[in-house]
Amino acid sequence: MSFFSFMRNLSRRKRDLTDEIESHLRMATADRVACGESPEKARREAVREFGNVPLVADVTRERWGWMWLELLLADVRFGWRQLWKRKVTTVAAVLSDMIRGLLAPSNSDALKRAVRTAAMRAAMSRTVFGGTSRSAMD
Amino acid sequence: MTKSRYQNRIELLQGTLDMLILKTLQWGERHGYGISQAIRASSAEVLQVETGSLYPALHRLEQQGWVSAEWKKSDSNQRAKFYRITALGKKQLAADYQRWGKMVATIESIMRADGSGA
Repeated sequence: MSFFSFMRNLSRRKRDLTDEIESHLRMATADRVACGESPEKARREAVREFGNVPLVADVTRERWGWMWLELLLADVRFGWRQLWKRKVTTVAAVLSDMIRGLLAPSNSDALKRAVRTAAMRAAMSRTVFGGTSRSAMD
Repeated sequence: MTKSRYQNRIELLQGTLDMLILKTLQWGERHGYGISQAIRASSAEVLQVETGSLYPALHRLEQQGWVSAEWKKSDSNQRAKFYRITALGKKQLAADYQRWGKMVATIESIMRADGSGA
């Protein structure tokens, strides 16, 4: 899983957990009503028995919390390794983009742009070849 | 009365909750509320699974690939997230149960020791 697909997943999972807790409370309330409690009391008791709703949600989320950073670091490390392994290609790419940038005088930060392009290429090669390129390279 | 019943309940050890959840799911897929009800009922009301531990555990088990989850309608026509044990989860359950047996036997032997071995 890449960093970007993880971030897309994260918002879906947060919504998912809120829905899950709510469905727990609804079922617990329904069971209590079936046992003869009034709907208001049943809901109140179900919430009390569940405990601290925001805390439970927080603790559960913590399990995913730092994963985004780990994934981002893994992506950055991977990109850097790709650039390093293909030194010749990287240098050629950076130089060619720099020359192109210098030829167009309006663009002053040619080096920055060139490095960015090379990094993007490395990232794209990962996306295109997926996990196989990664394990083959390692 | 509720209070004394509550005090008689035993708090679950870390690690045993995972095993009990997996065991409960072996009887069929269930949602979080169903799992806590099943554990409570099959332990004759002795074990109360705190929701504060249940949901983090379920999400951890899902991350490990030991359970899979799916949103479905329950019997009472409520939308709920149902968990199902995976093949990997069944393997984990067997390993957990074995480790549990070893731990119980070890603690038992310590409790029975008369001190002469030390």
